[in-house]
Amino acid sequence: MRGAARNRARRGVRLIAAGAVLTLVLGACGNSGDDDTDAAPSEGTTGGGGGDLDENVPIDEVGVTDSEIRVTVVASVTNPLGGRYKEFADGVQAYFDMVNADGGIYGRELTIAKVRDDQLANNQAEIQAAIAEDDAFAVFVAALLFTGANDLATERVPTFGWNINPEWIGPDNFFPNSGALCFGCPGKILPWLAKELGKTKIGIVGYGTSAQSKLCAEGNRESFELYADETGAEVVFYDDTVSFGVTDLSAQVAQMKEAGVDFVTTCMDQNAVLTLAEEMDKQGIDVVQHMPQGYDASYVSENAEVLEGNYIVPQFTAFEHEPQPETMQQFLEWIDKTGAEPVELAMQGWIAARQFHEGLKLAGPEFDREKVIAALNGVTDFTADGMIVPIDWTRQHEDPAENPDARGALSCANFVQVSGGEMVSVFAEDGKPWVCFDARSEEWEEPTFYSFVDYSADGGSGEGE
Amino acid sequence: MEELVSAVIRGFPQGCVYALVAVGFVLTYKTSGVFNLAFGAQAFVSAALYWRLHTDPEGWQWPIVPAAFVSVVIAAPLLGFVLDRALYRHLRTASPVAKLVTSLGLLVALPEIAKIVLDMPPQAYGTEGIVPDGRVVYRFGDYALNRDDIVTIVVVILAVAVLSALFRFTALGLRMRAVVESPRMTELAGVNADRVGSISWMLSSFFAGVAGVLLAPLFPYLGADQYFQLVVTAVAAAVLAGLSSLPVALVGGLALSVVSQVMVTYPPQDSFVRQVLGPALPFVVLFGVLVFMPSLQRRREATDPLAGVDPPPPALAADERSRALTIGTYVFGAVVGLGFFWWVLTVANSYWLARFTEAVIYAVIFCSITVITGMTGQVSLCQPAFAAIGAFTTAQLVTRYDMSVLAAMVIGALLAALTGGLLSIPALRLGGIFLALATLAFALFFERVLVKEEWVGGGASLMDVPRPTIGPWDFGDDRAFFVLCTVVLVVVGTLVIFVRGGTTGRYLDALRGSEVAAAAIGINPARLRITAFALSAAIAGVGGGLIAMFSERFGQANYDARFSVFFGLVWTVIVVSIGSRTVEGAIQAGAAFILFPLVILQRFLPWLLNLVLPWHVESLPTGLTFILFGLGAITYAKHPEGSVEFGKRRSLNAVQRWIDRLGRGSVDTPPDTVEPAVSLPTGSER
Amino acid sequence: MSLLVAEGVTKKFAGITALDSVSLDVGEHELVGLIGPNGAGKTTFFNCLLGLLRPDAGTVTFAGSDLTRVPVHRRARLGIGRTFQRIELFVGMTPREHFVVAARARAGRGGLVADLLGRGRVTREEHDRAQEMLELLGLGPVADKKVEGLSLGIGRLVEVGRALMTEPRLLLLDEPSSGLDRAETAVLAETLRSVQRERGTAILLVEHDVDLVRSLVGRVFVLDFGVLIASGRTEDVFADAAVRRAYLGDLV
Repeated sequence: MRGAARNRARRGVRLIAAGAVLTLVLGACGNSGDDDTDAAPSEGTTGGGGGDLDENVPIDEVGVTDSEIRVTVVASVTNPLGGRYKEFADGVQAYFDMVNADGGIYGRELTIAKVRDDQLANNQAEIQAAIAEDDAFAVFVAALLFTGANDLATERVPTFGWNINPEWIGPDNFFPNSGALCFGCPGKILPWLAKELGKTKIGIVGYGTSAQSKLCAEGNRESFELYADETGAEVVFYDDTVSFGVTDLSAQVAQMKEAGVDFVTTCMDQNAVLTLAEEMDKQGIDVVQHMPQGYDASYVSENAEVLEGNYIVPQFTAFEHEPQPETMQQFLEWIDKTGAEPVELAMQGWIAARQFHEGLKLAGPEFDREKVIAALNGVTDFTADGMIVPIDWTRQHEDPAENPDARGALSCANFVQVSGGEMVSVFAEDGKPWVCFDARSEEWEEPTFYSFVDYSADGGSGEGE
Repeated sequence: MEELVSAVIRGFPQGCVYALVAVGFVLTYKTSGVFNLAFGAQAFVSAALYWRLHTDPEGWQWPIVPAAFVSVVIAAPLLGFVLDRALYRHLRTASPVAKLVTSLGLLVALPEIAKIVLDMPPQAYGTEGIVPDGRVVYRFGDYALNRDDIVTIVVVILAVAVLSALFRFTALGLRMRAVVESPRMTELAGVNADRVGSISWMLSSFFAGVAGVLLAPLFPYLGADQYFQLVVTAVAAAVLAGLSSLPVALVGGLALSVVSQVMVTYPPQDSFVRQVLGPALPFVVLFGVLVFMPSLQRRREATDPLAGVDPPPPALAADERSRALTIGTYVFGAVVGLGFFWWVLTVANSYWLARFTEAVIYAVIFCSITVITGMTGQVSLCQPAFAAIGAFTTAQLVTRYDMSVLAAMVIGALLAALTGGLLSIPALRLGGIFLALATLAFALFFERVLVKEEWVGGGASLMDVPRPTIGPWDFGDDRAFFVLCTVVLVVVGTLVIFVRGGTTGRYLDALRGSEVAAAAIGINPARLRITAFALSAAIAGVGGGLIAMFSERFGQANYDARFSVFFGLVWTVIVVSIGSRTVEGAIQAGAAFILFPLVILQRFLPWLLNLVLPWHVESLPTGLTFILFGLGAITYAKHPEGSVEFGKRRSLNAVQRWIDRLGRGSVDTPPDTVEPAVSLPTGSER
Repeated sequence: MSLLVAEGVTKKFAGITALDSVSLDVGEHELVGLIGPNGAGKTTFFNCLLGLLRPDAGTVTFAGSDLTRVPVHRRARLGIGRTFQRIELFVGMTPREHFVVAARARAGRGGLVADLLGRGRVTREEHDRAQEMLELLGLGPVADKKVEGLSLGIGRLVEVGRALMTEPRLLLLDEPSSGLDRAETAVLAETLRSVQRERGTAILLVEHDVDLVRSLVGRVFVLDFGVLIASGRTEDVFADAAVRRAYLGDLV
């Protein structure tokens, strides 16, 4: 009676590891896409089908036969924390199904050789198994603890996946769904959001058990301080010592109440976010919460009342945004055919698969691992057909905190707001959901709105205002 | 002042949550003499069952009342009854450490059993608890409580009142305590100790069930880990109550919560109190209470005056094997070992090479448990923290100071030894479970406070750790590194054997046998224990250093994946169930820890099952690893040498008898055993 | 000159005086008894001698040096051996192993470093000495059996042997006959006599078995309610009227 039906979406993904913690904070950090100088425009959109894409040349490479190109998915499917990672594989599968229905690529089908469950602690072992035993051309990763990163880097396996781990930073054969994360880089998005909402008393809460969470909280504080004059907002409550797994935030909320906080942003997982929201409800303070986590319709509907009015930051163009990009419609169609749920992690899988496909297309019929890696590393504007902030792989492998050049040109976010148990897309202008800033300049500015559907590094996108 | 008052009031609901768990702890300890670390696991079982019956949106959707009735009133006491019948009844006169190990085994095994039996999904979300509309908030002026809070408060106060009355005024309560003090004496007084024991377990398990379903709404998803986290926090309150006073446990829980409220409210953000003491509060309190509360230390002296009436614990299966058989087994072991070594070096692919390398490294780490548990008879739950100290030191020294990685590893081991030695000094006077708790407190402190520090865990970035080179040899190659790890294992194993057969080992044997007698012949127990602790920590540190080299990049994620607190329990359980007395046991435990799930559960057993079953079995649940080793560990009291070791000796003895029979051509009686005229009171294993 | 001198040892528990200025001495090679009815303070006094309890007043000197602040295990190194009333053996070890470990403790050498260098094994000499002791006590047949399976009488001998392995100048025996039957007691007495004769070990026997004391010791101290009521040559003491009245009346 269980099985597939189990995978029904209930709540979003949790980014927490047992006991000790890793807390990842994506939306809140200034992670960004880049657009830069001259670059080869990428191939067209999905669906393959171009003349040479059908050409089947015999290739001697791991995971490639005359009829298929095999990949392995490594995900933290079961973990003691309740995260839902199997959907990531569903998303990859849905994309592959779509490509295969259209004849595959280079006369070959894309197949998932194996979905490996790293059970949180065994990521390294599973990745080593994927390398040694699966005969897989590429590896897709959505893991809480990406301890096998080094093996993938040294084996030079093209690696795709969900960018929530610091391990993605560095190796040039890693192509996660966003450019290298910057933990603790200040940005303009949060101050802008507060200003837009007319909020001036800011509260920031982070975990003390995680270095990443602490960095994130510091970055957020710095962001507000940097633009205090322009936004009139000040940080009146700051706590980066919350214990992981805490079930009581009443002291923090009481102090926020005292300080008159009207806008709070956290660097915690959505469990603690919920605890915080409940406590604020309980103590009866009216605060808008900015949530880097929790982009999940059923999580929101289940906790409709406590989350009402909060802003959630999806890492891709929100499902709720209208008009939907064409690829979103394809996603919904194929994820349905796969028998899976259209949830955040499924979309992450879809985007990862899309990028892999892009690499194959660029590498040409005589592709191999190195050619795919080299081809993707020449891409300066990958947007997964408008789903994500453009990535420039000529520079975005490196840690932006250490190397400012590795920053993208744009720092963007798109928002949904909880309203009556549902999420609605907000702030979009002219159908352009992405609120973007120049990531390289510290100067305060008004945002530019983007839709990345027709974006190219040459500047062909529809600029907003 | 007003702020203080409001901090106290705000701390109340959370305090009651701690108190509920602490009271459950004290209740179990009072009525069974077991420091039941598996309390959280028991609570989880009821909560999971309740979730299945009621909350699960695709489950049976029973109404609250029947679901609560089945999961709390029926299932929980039933579990207690089964635990008593199957386990604790036979452990009544066992040492506290043996009981603790049993509860560790349950802690590891029970949730996995529940997950398999109840077919729990990997994620069990549900905020709806046993209280209808538990989130509904009631306001009292500035303060607010929701229904869940109110019910928790009422239940815990009621429980303290009712249970206190039970112990004070009823014959049953008196009997329960008497059975714990001395089951034999109680029987002399005409009380059926077994029946009282069963009732005790049913009662405390019922209480665990109540806590389980009541606290479920605190967690956004249901997991055994959540309860474990809560339990380790609440332990401080239980220990504060001397493990005996229910009202003090209540007050302790409240105090813990109120003090953390105050700590979050007053000191500035960057202060030591806020950054370090606050998050570590429960563990600092636990450690402090253990070290400074004299009544706890006295308690350990109390043993059943009639314990000697029971037959002495079964001796380790005697070594009555002939020289030939002994040599035979050695040769067999050597052949198997060398066979694997050869296979790994020549045939195995990179995956299996890595797994065997890991197994070898874990064998090194587990040698540290051989020293601490096998030789001193103590349980340490912070071995992963020592390993982490080794690993982080290695990584830090290499990245920051460009030090040779082997030298860094040695320094890491020394640092771990120093930490172990310093830790053992205040904990010296503690024996058995209190020492185990002190180590648990340290492990939690390390995890919650130290790991995130940049000078420990490297912050959010990763540290590159190279493989070593020694003179002309470069161990950068994976196979060469495997050889290096094997060499380290051989060296460490040999050293442990030397120590066990040498002065330290003999003294420790003596100390375990009788501390007073050991002191009476001139052995310094304090120095000996510090030595053992430091040695054990050093070995774990060496293993940790090897893990850092094996990983090549090391950071917080690696800590979480390998050295988190829960692993401390798992390691102890695995080593104890396989054999903590011998280096051989540590090696087998290392192999089992890494290879058992991969080889047996994922490959061998499915293959075997697929031969007979009509449907296809892909893999067996990996939870079985925890279940099997957990169940292996609960026999610790009976087979302190390890149940696997016990089985091995028994079968070797059977082989020996078979050889004897072949040799003599006649059925031989088993070798004589001296029937003790008066058996010696053996005292407790300390 | 006296080997062990206790002077004015006083110990109070919660206001009750358990020992009131008790003085006692044991000479080299001497066999001395300390007797008294149950609750007389014998064990308390014994524990004060051994450092398990610290006296409130009074001093204990051994071979001329003050023992008052010396920790338990150091006293053993100085040459005081003891046995226990409630037997305390090293569970899990054989009599031979008991003796070997005691021999090692006596020598006081070795330690972790020596162990790590592989120099911690049982030496020939330790082995021989253990063998000697096994023979002296007639424990040969049970030398390699774990003590858990041995009878109480043998256990007591193992305790005595273990104490003797540390080559004490003084052996303190705490009610060695308790729990033993007549035959076992006789064996014990014979053993003690020969030990004292052959090794010259001074022995302080704390005992309630009057017969055993009478047959063994040359000098005896009598304790009653924490007060020393008599001391002197065994015959004299047992002839003393006060002793008879207070303690021995019914027995003698």
